[in-house]
Amino acid sequence: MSGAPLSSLSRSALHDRLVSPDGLRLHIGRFVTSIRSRHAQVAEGLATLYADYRLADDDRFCDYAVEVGRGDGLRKFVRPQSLFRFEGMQPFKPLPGDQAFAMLEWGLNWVFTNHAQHYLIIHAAVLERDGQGLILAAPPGSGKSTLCAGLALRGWRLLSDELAMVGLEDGLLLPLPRPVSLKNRSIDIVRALPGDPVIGPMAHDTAKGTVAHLKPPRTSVEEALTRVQPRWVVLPKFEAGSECAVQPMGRARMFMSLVSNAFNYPRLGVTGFQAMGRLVEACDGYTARYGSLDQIVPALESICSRPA
Amino acid sequence: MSLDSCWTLPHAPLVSILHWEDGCVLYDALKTSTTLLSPLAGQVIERLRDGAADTATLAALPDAPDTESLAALLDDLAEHGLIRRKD
Repeated sequence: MSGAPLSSLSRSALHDRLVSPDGLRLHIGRFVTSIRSRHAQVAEGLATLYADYRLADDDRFCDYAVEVGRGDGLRKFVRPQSLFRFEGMQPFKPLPGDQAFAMLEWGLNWVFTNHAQHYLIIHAAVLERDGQGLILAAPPGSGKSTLCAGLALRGWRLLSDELAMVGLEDGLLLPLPRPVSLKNRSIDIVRALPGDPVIGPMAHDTAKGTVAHLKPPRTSVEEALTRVQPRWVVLPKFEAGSECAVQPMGRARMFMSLVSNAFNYPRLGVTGFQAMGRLVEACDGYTARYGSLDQIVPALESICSRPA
Repeated sequence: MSLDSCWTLPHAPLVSILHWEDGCVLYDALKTSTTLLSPLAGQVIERLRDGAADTATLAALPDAPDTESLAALLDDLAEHGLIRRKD
């Protein structure tokens, strides 16, 4: 993964690449992704949050080429929109122009989820410590991203805030570190954490409320090709005012919980069943109900410090 | 239920099963369905993968309950299409 970091580009050079036919070509995990956009907010978000990502050489094969456009005709100039495009498809309805960076992030989630089919993909945050992987699998609203941000800012390596990508043959976790998506109150909670969090552009009044993203730690970006052995699966559930309760979970139940959070398990057939079985066999499972990061972070770090 | 009732596992070659202490998970490649089962139900399925068996044979499985509970389990599995009574 050679190439200078995006931070080596001046703002004008970044703009020029974003509007060029080939787009800004970045290494995101093991994928080369081309991004095109004339939205100033996209440039701002990339400069802030993707500063440590390596630029891909022009002759490198591009895995995914995406664009966040401004709309057609007068829309380009009057109340521009955010339109996500990928290989001629426009999978989402347009959003307001001031949600352009959030649209890029959501669009990239959609691209990786639907097109990286060589992996079992589970809706989960993934982190690593001492070479072992922690999978936080949960539906939206469970506090997964806030917890993920809290752990990443404490030195855990971020593999992903959204997608656990499990190799179908080796069973290892493939890193795809990207900015951590934060919503509403969690933005201020994470902003107040130690570890010098860097937060990108704010998108207000989205379908999810106010959305902003946390810059991934530089070391996580630099180690994005180092796969990880999965070791723990935790199903977190934030409940305001709740005491912290971490309970072991049986593997059969863990299996079904991961299936319910998997994106492409049905599509993979028996291969997905076998991959899920290997993942479950390799991990200890827990449910975790908690009322604050101060409770859950030490509880998880205690579990993850125990010898295998 | 008669102890003579005979049970089979439909399309057994397409069924995969994984066992753990808290239960087992069955994958049916024909239906592309995944089902969580109790450990005992997993034992029943595993036995039927080897071939048809009557209730009396299944009642001899290591963790088999009393005949009435076993019969209820077999009916339940049949109702969900996981096993079939052999006529």
